[in-house]
Amino acid sequence: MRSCSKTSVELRRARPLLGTLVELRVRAPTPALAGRAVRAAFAAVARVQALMSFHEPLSDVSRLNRTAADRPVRVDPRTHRVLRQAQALHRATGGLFDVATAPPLVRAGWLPHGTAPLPATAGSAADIVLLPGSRVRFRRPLLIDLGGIAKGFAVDQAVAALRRHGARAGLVNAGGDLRSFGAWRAPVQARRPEAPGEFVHLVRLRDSALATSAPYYAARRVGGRLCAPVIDPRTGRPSAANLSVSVQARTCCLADALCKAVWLAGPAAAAPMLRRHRARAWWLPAPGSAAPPARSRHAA
Amino acid sequence: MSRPPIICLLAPAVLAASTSGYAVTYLTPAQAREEMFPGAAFSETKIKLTPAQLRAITAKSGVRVRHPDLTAAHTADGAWFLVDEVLGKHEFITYACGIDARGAVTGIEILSYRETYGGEIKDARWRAQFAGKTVAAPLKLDLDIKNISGATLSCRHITDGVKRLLATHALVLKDLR
Repeated sequence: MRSCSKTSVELRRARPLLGTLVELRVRAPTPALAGRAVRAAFAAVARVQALMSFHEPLSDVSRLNRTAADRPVRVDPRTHRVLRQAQALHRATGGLFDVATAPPLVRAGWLPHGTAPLPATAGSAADIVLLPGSRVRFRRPLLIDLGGIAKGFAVDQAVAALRRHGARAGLVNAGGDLRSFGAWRAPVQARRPEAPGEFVHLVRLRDSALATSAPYYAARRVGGRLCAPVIDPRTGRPSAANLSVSVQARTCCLADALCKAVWLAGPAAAAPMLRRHRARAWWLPAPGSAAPPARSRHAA
Repeated sequence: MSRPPIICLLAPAVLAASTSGYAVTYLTPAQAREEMFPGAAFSETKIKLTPAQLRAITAKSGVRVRHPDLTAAHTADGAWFLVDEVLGKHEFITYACGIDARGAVTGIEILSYRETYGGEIKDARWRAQFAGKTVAAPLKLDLDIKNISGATLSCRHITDGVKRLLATHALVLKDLR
């Protein structure tokens, strides 16, 4: 931030990607470098979308859901990497983060029908077998959705592309999943779950990532209750808590996935999970809903 | 790590919350056009769609057309650059869309994004304050230092807007040159 800032330019761009708005902010030595870095970063995000979208019939995810229970399917190395991370987090969260919970999301209308058949029995991320050569097999019919981790991974890929193309500092924000790099300090706010037009300051982010899960844009009525698209693998049902959970971690992929596990675990049980990943979380319940379990730490 | 791994912000702790709308401008239409079609020469056209065209576009795209007026520019070889706006429940987004001579989207750039809460966005007076101010005189609803981490806002309105523009291209613009 010292002498280099005199000879650098800043660029801010946004495009509709990943089903949301993806915003890039970069600082680079010249306008040409900044422009090239931004184009490369949007291309990296678009690539993750093409590979890992549940909506896209030709994505790796859809091909796996249709075929991997019958025979191994070769996927892009990036998809293989995200699945490996997803499986590691499935173990590290005691099964709370599970990419195989797409069936209830389809049944409730959060995800579309028809990209692959709904399995008759419930499986979990433990039924995914990662083979050498970027191949993947399912031990039983599964319907996986990388929605809870791929957006964070896309943000990480965008940051890598920006750096590769000479950006010195910047911020990537994919609909609320953020990561800053270099000397970019980003004061980050979360929306209040009961009043999303109001903001609460969380942290000044620097060389770090933050993701949030909250129901205000995506809530649907399931079985008479207003629910968030966070499926509890223990019950197979969506969560009815009106809550906003933000997680700060090294990478956005990790922050994105841990959000869901922290949401389901509750503050007390989430603490060791967060410590192990050198992450931290903010738990914002809407007044009158989902009081945190006792023993949790209250900061005022 | 000495700091607590989880911070619970209960009701009393959020009293310091700020309340406001939020607005950010990314590009002027001219800047977006130059980025999408570097160095290309464009002719600008103001188009007023007829009621029959409006009905045809709605039928083809499945998206209701709100405005008969269209700001469009095209190159000699048939590429189009369109600026459009969409209205969500809380957000008002201006974006640019490039379409090539074959009718394929070459790029979409967000020009400006504004949001507000409390139903104001449906209010014609609220919208009127943006008319003609899209980017030349960006409205400062709030400092744009805000980085909001939140649940994902759907870009469905933009997707629908692009469908509408592609239908407009196929039914009207393609044959205009």
